[in-house]
Amino acid sequence: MIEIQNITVQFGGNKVLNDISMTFEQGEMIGLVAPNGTGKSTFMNVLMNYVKPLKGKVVFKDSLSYSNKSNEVKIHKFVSMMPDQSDLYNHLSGREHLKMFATMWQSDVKLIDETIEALNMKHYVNKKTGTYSLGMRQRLCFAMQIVANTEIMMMDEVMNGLDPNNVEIISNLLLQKKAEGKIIIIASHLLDNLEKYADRIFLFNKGKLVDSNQIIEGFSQAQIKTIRVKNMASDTKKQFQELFPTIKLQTLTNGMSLIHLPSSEASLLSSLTSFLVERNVVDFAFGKVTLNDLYSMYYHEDQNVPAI
Amino acid sequence: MWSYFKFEIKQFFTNKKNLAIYFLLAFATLFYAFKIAPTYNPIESVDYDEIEARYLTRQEFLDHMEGSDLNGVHPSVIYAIGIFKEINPIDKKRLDALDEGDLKQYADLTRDWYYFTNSFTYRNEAFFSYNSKYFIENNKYAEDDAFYAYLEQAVRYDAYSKADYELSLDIFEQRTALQTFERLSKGLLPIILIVCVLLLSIDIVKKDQRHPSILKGFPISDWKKLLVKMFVALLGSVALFAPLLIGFFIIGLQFGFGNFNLPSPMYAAQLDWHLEGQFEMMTLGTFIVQSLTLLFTWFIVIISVVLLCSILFRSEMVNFAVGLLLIFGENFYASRYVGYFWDVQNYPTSYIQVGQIISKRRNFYYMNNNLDFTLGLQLLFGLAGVVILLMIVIALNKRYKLMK
Repeated sequence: MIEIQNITVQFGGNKVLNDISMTFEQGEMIGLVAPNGTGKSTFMNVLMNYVKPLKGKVVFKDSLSYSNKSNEVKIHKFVSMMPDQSDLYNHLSGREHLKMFATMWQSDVKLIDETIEALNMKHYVNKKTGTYSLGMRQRLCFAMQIVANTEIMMMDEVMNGLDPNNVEIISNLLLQKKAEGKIIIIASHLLDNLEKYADRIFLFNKGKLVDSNQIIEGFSQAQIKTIRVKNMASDTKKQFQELFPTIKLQTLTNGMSLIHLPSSEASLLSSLTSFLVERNVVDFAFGKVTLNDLYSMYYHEDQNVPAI
Repeated sequence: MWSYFKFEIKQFFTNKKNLAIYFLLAFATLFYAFKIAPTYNPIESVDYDEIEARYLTRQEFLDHMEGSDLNGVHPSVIYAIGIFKEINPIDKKRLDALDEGDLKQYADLTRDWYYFTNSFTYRNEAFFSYNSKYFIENNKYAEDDAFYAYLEQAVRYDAYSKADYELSLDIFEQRTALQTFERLSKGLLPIILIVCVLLLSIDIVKKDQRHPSILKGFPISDWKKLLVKMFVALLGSVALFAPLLIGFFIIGLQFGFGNFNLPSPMYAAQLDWHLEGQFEMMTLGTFIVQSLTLLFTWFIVIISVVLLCSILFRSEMVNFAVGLLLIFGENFYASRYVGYFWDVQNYPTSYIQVGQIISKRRNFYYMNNNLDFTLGLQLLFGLAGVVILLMIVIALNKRYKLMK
């Protein structure tokens, strides 16, 4: 369990984290989403005590907090953060890195081979990391944290530089770790992936962590709540607003228009479908607001498009 | 902690800079063992031809003067005859001993030769002079150095004359491996090793700054990390002796290894230094143990100072500068006989010439009776203790972070 109590971090006059309070429970996978430089890494650094908050504290199990150096060591025995691929020792092999983490956290050494196997690292793990590609380095960093096998794992941009296959492999491993009861906190820009696996997703805004469900009610529930229309012409938008004045139409910077459905009644869905098809709009889908939409909505909403 | 130790030791011994230091030291050692050691030419060598030439010249003079009327001759001639009549029989017996291969007898006679020669040569430049090699490089103190060397030789030969081990010319000329180490300990070797320790340890904290996200989260406290780093650097420093050992064996195979019972004279600084200058005897084993102890203490001092500087300044250049200041700080005040006026024995930097401290040659140099192995250890351990304590106090501070 992690209990974050009124954390405030300020750099100069800029409040990067502003009075954040929340609790993460064991077995939860938490997704953190935000544009660069809005506080994701700072948030994780506070959880690791790399950054001292101006106010507030983080409480872990057995009421442990970073109140002294001895507690920090105790906490770091069960909390870890994925290393950055640029920090790897180029003259050491991947296996040596894994051994380093396994011995430092005194975890089961069997995990080393199991993780190598699971992440398809066998063919390169004995070579020096200086020869690795970005994706190989990234997988190694992830593997290092997996072999450390701490109760709480934090990962900043874990999927960077990975191909879709490896994203899937890592995601499955994360699910496995989650099933073991670990708290996994992931900051990522691979929103589809995050949406698929995270139990709760938080967006950063003006130093606050906002639950995605707070932004869009029932975001995490699988219900038909939206029609997502690609490249909707402005004439069509106008006509839509005239015909359906009570339905909210929202256009995002990525060109996607969202028709927020007040209900999922068949007659309403039918009439909306007819409206679109009659105007030769064929690229649309029923479903819920995706994390990508939410991200666009939250951080880049086109202010010129009036929402009805 | 054990895991961190294993991690650090691996880092230390795979560090390219550290490997380069070991490699260069090994290269220098091999060069010394193969090229310099065999051509070592001590001033006080066992030179049959030189003894014979000196003997024959004097004898010719004595033979020439034999039966001459000495009335009216210059007093220096009479003085020379007197001296030559004393010294020439000794030289004759030394030559005979060498001819017969009786090295014990040679040692016995040579002891007397050195005592006697010193007594009429020191401060008697109008008539006699020490070996000209003492006077090179405009050495103002050549007389004193030669005086010291002659007395030291006399004591050495006295010990050889009572030896219960096999003697050799290589032992007389201090060419054996152990004696070579003794000679080098009184010269640049300790400083070279201490500078190597400085270079080995200079980045032991700073290197971590290149891998922060890997190291910051290790579940081990900063003060323990520092102590582990210190221990690793100490082990790395001891490993400096590995290349030296190669040289030791090469020299040993060429000139013999010597033994720990060989004499290693120690200047008796408590006595009136010039007129009654004397030596006390210590075995080579004692000399080596004490030298290594003092040297090892210096390693601890240098490493702890580097660690403290690393956590205070986070700059390798500052570490280097402070380390060099400690190592070469003595040069700011060291000059002949200055110890008579200043309490140089109270500065830790005065103990950098490890071999000279143990043999008390430094006491002779400074004209100070108080420079002493025990005091040196106390000062250096005291300094290291204070530095380590300060380092731990800083590392325990809640606000301090070893990795930023």
